[in-house]
Amino acid sequence: MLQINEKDTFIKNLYPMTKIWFAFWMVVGIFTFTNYYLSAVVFVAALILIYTEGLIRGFKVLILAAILLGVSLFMIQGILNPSNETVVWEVITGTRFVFYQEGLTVAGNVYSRIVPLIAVLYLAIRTLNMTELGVALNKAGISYRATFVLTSTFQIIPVLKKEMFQIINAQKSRGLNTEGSLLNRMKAFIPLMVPLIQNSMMNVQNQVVALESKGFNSDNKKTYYRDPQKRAIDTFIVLSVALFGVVGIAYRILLYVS
Amino acid sequence: MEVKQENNQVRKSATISRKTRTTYALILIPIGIAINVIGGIIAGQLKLPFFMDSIGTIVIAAITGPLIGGITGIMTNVVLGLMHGDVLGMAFGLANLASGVIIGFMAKYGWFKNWIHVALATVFVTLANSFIAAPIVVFLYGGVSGAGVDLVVAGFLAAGQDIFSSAFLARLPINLVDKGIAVIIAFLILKKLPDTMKNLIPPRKAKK
Repeated sequence: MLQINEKDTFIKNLYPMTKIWFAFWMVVGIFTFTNYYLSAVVFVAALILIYTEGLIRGFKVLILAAILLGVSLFMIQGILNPSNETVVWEVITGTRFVFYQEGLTVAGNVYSRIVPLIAVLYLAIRTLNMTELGVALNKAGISYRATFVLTSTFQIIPVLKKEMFQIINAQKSRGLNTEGSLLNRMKAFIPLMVPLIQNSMMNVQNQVVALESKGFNSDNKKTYYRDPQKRAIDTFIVLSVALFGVVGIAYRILLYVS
Repeated sequence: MEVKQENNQVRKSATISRKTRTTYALILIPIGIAINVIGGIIAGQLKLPFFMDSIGTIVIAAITGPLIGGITGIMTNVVLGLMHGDVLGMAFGLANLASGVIIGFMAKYGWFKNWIHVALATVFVTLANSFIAAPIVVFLYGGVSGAGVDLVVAGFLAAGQDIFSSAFLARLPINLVDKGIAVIIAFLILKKLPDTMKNLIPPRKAKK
C-alpha cells in the first residue's frame, strides 16, 4: 500500500505536492465551470493518462460505481425532483414513470462534475507514494508528528488486514456462522471486530516504548531515506492548473454578477 | 535548595508524561483509522448493508477525548480517499469528525459510563451524522450516493418531501443501526481495557 505504483513514468516522478495541488485546483475548476464539453475533454484526457500509466485495471471498479451512481441519479432526479414540470419523455403512457426536464438538468450538472473528477483524482492519488508525500508535506512546513500519523496509518492497515483474516479463520473454525440471513451475519460482526480491536489496543503500549526509545520526541532534525526533488515542470504544472481554477472562480463570479 | 530541586524534579516528570501522552495519541490515531477501514472491509466481507466505518473513531474518542477523536474521524475519510482514489468521499469526513467530537466530549465529562449514556450517544451521533451527510450528498451528488440508501431516498421523494429532507430522513434509520452497533462495540471494548489505557484524556487545568 505504501508503494502503489513503482513504475518509472512521467506522472510517477512528479513532486508529490504537485499532485495534491493539481487535485485541489481541478476540483475548484470543474465545480466552478460545470460545463459538459470541458468535463468530457478532461475525462477523456484523464482516461488516456490512466491507461498509459497502467492503472486501468483498478479504475474499472470506479467506472462501474460511477455508472451505477449515474443510473440512480438520473432516475431519481429525472422522475422525482419536486420542481419537475416539463415532460421530456413518457416511458409508459398513463403511469407516473415520466422523465422531466428540470430534474434531468440537475442530474446532468451533477454528473458532469463527478465523472471527470473521479478520473482526475484517481490519476493524481494512485500515482502518489505515501512515504514521499509525508516527506514533501514535512518540507512544506507540516510537523513531523502530523505526517507520521499519515505514513504510519498506511503501514498499519495491511498488518491489521492480515490479522483480520487470521481472526476470521479462527472464529470460523470455532463454528462461527458468517453466512445466511442478515441477522446471522450481523451477529458474526461483533466476534470478529472485538478481538481485532483488543489486539491492536494491547500492542499500543509496546509501540509507545519502541518509538520513545528511538527518539521520536527528540527535537533534532529528522533524516529521510527517500528524498523527492522538485523540478521546473512541477512549478509549471502547479501554476497552470492554479490558473485554470482561478479563471473558473472569476467566471462563476462574473456569471453571478451579470 | 532542596525544595527547588524537588520542584524541578516534579516539573520534569510532568513534561515527560505529557510528551508520552502525545506519543500515545499519535499511535492511537493511526490505529483508530485502521480499525475504521478494517471495520468497513469486514462489513463488506459479511455483505452487511452498513458502513461500519466509525468504530475506531468512537473507541479512540472515548479513550483520548474530543480533539484526537475528531482528528481520527476526519483522517479516516482522507485515508479512505487516498486508498481508493475517491477524493470526493473525503467530504463525509465531516460527519465522522462530528462522531469523534461528540463521543470525546461525552467521555471527557464522564457521560460514557452506562447503557443510558450509550443510548444517548447513539442518538446524538445519528442525528449529527445524518444532518451533516445530507447537505454533502445533495450538493456533491445531487442527493444520490449510488448505494442502498437511494431506494429510501426515492421513497421519501415520491411521498412529497423535498430533496434535502429526503436525504436526511433516509439516513436516520440506517445511521441509527450503523452508529448504534459502533457505539455498543466501543463501549464493550472500553470496559475490558486495562485502567492505564482507559483515561488518556488530558486533565483540565487545575483552578487556583
